[in-house]
Amino acid sequence: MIPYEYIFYLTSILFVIAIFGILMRKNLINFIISIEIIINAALINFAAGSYYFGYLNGVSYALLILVVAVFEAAVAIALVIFYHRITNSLDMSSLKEYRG
Amino acid sequence: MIYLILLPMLVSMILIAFIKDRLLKSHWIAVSMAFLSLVISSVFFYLYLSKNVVENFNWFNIGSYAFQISFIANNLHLLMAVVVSLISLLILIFSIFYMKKEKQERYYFEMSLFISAMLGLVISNSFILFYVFWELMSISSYLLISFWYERETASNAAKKALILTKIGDISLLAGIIILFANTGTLSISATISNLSTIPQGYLVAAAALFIIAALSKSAQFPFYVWLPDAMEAPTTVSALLHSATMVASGVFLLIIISPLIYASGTLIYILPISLITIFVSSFLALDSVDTKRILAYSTIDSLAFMFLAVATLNPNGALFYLIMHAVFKSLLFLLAGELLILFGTRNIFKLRGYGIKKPIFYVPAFIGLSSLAGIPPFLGFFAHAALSYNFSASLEAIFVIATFLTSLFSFRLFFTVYHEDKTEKIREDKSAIIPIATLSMLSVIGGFSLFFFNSIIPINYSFDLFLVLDSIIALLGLFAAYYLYSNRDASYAKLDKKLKSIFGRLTYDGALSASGIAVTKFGGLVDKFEGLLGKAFDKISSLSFDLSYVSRELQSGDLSNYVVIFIVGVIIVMALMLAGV
Amino acid sequence: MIDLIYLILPEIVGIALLYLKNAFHSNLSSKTVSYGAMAVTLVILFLGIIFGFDGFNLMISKAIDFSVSFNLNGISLPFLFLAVLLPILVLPSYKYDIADRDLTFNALLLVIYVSLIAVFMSSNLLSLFMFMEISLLSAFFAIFLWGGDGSFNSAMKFLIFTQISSMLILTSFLMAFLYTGSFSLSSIASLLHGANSMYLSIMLLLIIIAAIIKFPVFPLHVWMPGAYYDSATSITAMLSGLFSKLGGYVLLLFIVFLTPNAVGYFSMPVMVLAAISAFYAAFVALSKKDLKLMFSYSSMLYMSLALMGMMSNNPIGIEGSIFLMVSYGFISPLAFVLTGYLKSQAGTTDMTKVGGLMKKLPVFALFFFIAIFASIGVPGFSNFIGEFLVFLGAFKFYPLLIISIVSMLIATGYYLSSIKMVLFEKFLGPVRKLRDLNGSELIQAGVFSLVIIILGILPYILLNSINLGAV
Repeated sequence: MIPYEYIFYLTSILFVIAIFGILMRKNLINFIISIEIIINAALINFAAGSYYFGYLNGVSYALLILVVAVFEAAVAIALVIFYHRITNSLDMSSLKEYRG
Repeated sequence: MIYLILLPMLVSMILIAFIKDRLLKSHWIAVSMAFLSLVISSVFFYLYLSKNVVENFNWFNIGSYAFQISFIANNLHLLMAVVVSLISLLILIFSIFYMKKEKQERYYFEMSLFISAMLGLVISNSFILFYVFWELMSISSYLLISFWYERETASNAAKKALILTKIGDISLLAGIIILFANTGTLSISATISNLSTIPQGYLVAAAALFIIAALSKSAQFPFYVWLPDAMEAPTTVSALLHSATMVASGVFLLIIISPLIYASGTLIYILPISLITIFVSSFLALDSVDTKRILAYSTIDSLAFMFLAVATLNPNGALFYLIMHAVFKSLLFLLAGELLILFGTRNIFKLRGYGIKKPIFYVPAFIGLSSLAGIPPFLGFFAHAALSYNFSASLEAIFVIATFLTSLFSFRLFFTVYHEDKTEKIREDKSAIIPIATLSMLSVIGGFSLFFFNSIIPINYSFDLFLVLDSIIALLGLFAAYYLYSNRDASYAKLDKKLKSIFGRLTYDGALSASGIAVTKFGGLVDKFEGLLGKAFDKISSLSFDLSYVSRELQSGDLSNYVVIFIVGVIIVMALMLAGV
Repeated sequence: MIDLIYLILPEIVGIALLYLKNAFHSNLSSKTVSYGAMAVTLVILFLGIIFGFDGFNLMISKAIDFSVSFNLNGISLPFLFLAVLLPILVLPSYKYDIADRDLTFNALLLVIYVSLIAVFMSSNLLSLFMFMEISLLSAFFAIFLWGGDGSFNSAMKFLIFTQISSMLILTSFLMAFLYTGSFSLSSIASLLHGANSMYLSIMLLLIIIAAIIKFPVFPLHVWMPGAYYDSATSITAMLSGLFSKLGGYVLLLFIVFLTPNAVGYFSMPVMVLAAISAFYAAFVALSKKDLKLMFSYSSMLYMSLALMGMMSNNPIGIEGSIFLMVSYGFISPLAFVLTGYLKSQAGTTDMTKVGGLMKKLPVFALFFFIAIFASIGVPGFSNFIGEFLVFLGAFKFYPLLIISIVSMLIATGYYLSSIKMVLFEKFLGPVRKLRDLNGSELIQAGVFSLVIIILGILPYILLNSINLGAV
C-alpha cells in the first residue's frame, strides 16, 4: 500500500495549484476550472482517508461532494454563459457593479 | 396698607399705557396721581407719627425659607415719601410747560415708573423689594436719558449710565445675598437688630458692597462720570432723577443700614473717597460752560457732603441735608430748564449774551445758589449746620475750603448768566411759575424747620464758630465770583482757559471708553478661541469621515478582491482553530 | 382625574389628520391642524392642573421592564407647562422662513411636540429615553430641511453631539437597571440608596457630561452656534426654549431623586466649570455683531447659570435653576422670534446694518425692550427671580462663587450695545416700507411678554408646583 502521506501531498499540491488559479487567473472559465480542481482535491482526500482508516464515511462524503460539484459546475457555467451573452467578455475584473 | 403710597403712580403707569392720549391727556393723569400720592403720604405721615409699623407679605417659599416683602412706616421713611411726592408733583407740573412740544406718553409713563419705584424704595423694609425698586430706578433712568434716542450722545450717555449703575446694582445684590444667607431673613429691620449673629468677615464684605452700590448710584468717585453725561436727558428728568431722588437713594441706602456700616468698620474708607469727589467735582464745575453740567457737578459735590455726614456717624444730619438739597437743587434745575426752553441754549456765555438779568429769573436763582453755597438765612446754611455736627477740626478746615469752592462755582454761574438786562418783558407760563415759586419759598423758609425737626427725627446741630466761619467764607466766594466773572472784559475767558487746561484731564472719559474697548477686545479674543475650538471639533469629525473613506475600499465590487479576502480569512480561521483558540 | 395620555392624543390625531387630509381632499391647512392640536393639549393641561392628573401605564415588555408609563413627578410640572405652551406660541413665526413643505413641517413639529411632552411626563426611564431620541431625530430633520446654507453640517454636528450624550444617558440608565432590575423611576429612587457610592458617582458623572453637551456648557458647546444660527426662526426658538432643557431635566432627576448623595462630590468642579462657561459665553456674545448669534450665546450663558444652581446641593439653588430654565425658556424664544421678524423686514440679522428702528417700528421696539430687560434680570420679569435664587444657592454652597454675578454686568454691556445699534440713532435700514408687528405676531409677542411678567410678579405659581420630595 502506498502510504497515506503521499496521497495527502498530492491533494495538497493540487489544492495549492487550484488556489493559485483562483487568485491569479483573469478568465472566468479558468476560475471555474480551479474551483473544480479544489473540490476534486478534497474529494480524493476523503476517499483516500476512508480507505486508509477503514471507515466508509469518507466514500459517502466523496460521492456527495461529487454530485454537488456537478450541480455547482452546471450552475456556474450557466451563469458564465449568460454573463458572456450580456457583456461579451470573460474578464473577472469587469464584475464591478457592487462597488461601493 | 402702606403700599397704598405707591399705588397712585402705578395706576398712572397703567392708565397712560392703555388710554389713548386723545381721550385723556397723559400729563393730567400723571399730575393728578402724583397729587394723590402726596395726599396719601401725608395722611400716613400724620397717622403713623412716632410709630414704627412693619407689614409683611409672603411672596414665595422655597422649602423652609420664606421670601417676604415687607413695608415699613416710621418717621424717617414716611418723611422721605412726603418729600419725594411733593418734589415729583412740582416737577410734573413743570413738565407740562417743558414737554409741551414732545410726544408725551412715553415721558409720563417712564416718569410714573420712576416715581413709583422711588416711593416704593423709601417705604420698603425688605432687601429684595429694595433691590427691585433700585433696579427699576436704574432702568427708568436709562429710558429717560435716552428719551431723545436719535441723538448719538444721548444713547451713549444712557448706556454709560446704566452700565456704571449696574456695577452698583450687582454689588447691592451680592451684599443682599451675603446677608440673607447669614441671617435667613430679608427684612431690613430684622437684619439690623440681629447684626451680632453675622460673622465679622461677611459683615465687612456686605458693608463694602453696599458702600460700592451707594457710590455708584450717587455718582461718587470713581463712578461719577455718568452723571454729567446724563444731562442729555430732558431737564425735568435731571431735576427729578439726577438731583433730588435717584442719586439720593445711594445716601438713603447708607442711612437706613447705617448700624451695619458702623458695626463693620468700613467707615473710614468713605472719607477719602468723598473728599476726592468734592474737590474733583468742584474743579470740574469751575471748568464747565453748560448750565446743567455745572449743576450736575454741584450735585456730585452735595452728595459727597452727605457721605461725609454718614462717615462722621451723623446719618440724620445727612438725611436733613438730603431733603433740603432736593428742594434747592430741583429748583436750580427747573430754572436751567426754563432758560433752555426760552432761549434755546445751555451755554452760560451764550445766555450772558441774551442779557436776562430780570428779577423773575435771578431772584429764584439767587435763592437756590445761595442755598447751595450755604449763605444764611437760606436753606443751605441750616443744612450745613446739621451736616457738620460731628466734624473733627481738620475736617472742618477742609470743609471750609470746599464751601469756598462751591460758592465760587455757584456764583460763577450766577454772575456769568445774569449780567445785564437787554430783553423785553417775557410772558411766563403758569405751570412754570408755580413750581419755581413754591420751591423758592421753601428754600427761604425751609431752613428754619431745623429747629422743629427734632420731634420728627433727632437731629443735632450747633451754631458754633465754625458755622459762622463757613458762612463768611461762602460770602467770600460770592464776592470772588463777582469780581472774577462779572466784568465785561475777557478776564474770565482767560481764567476759564487756564482752568480747562489743568482740570480737563479729571473727566476720565478716555480711560472709561478705553476700558470698555479693552473688554470688547477681550471678548474678541475669546471669540477667536471659540472659532478655534469649533475647528478642532470639526477636524475630529472629519477624521471619522476619512476613516470611512479608507474602509470603503473594502467594498470594491471586484470579485477577485473578494475571493482573496475570503481565502485569507479562511486560512486565518483555520490557523486559529488549529492553534486551539 | 385626567389621564396623562390625553395630553398626547390630540397631537397623534393631528398627525393622522395631516396625512389623511390629502386622501380626503379637504381644504384644511396644515397650520390649522397644528394650532388645533396644540390648543386642545393646552386646554387639557389646564383642566389637568385644576382637576388632577392620573397616571398611564402601557406595558410593552415585562422582561426588560419597558413600559410607556406617564406619571408626574415632583419637578415635571414646570417643564410640562413650558413644553405645552411654548410650541403654540412659536408657531406663527414659521412663515418667515418655511417657504415650502408645509405639511412636513407641521407633522415634524407635532412629532417633536408629542415627544417632548412625553419626555417630561415619563416615569419609566426607557420610555423617557425613547421619546428623547424621537425628539432629537426630528430636530435633526427640522434643522436640516429648513435651514440656511451650511445647515447640513450644523445639523450633523448637532446630531452627533446629542447622540453621544444620549449614549451616555442610556449607559447611566442601564447601570441603574442592572443594579435595581427595573426602569421605573419610583422604584429606582427607593432601591438605589443601597448602591456603592462609586457606582452612583459614575452614573451621575455620565449624566453630568451628557448635560454639559446638551445645555450646552463650555467646553462641549461647539455644536450650538451652527445649529442655532443655521436653523429657521421657529426651530431655533424650540431648540433654545425646550431642547436645551432636556439635559437639565434628566440631570435634575438624578440630582433630586436618584443619586442625591453623589452630588456632593461633583458640586465644586461642576459649579466652577459652569461659572467659567458663563463668563466665556458672555465674552463671546460681547464680540458678536449678529443678533441671532448674540442671543444664542446669551442662551448658553443662562443655561450655564442654571447648571451652577442645579449642582449647588441646596433646594434654593435647585428650585432657582428650574425657575431660571422655565423663565428663560420663554424669554429666549421671544428674542429669536423678534430676530426672525427683523430678518423678514430688514433682510439681515446683522446689528451693524440696521439702526434707528425705534422710530419706524415702535411696537417692535417695545417688545425688543421687554426681551432685553427681561434677559438682564430687571425685576418684574421672571429672569430676576431665577437669577437671584441661583446666585443665592451658589453662595450658600461656596461663597466665592458670587463672582459669577459679574457675568450679568457683561450681559448688560452687550445687550445695551444691541439696543443702541438696533433701535437708537440713525435709521440705516432698507428703503422699502417696513411693516410693524401686527396680527398674529402681536398676539405672539404679547402672550410671551404676559407670561414673562406674570411669572416675574407671581413666582409662586411655578415654585409651588415643585416638590423636591415626591417622585
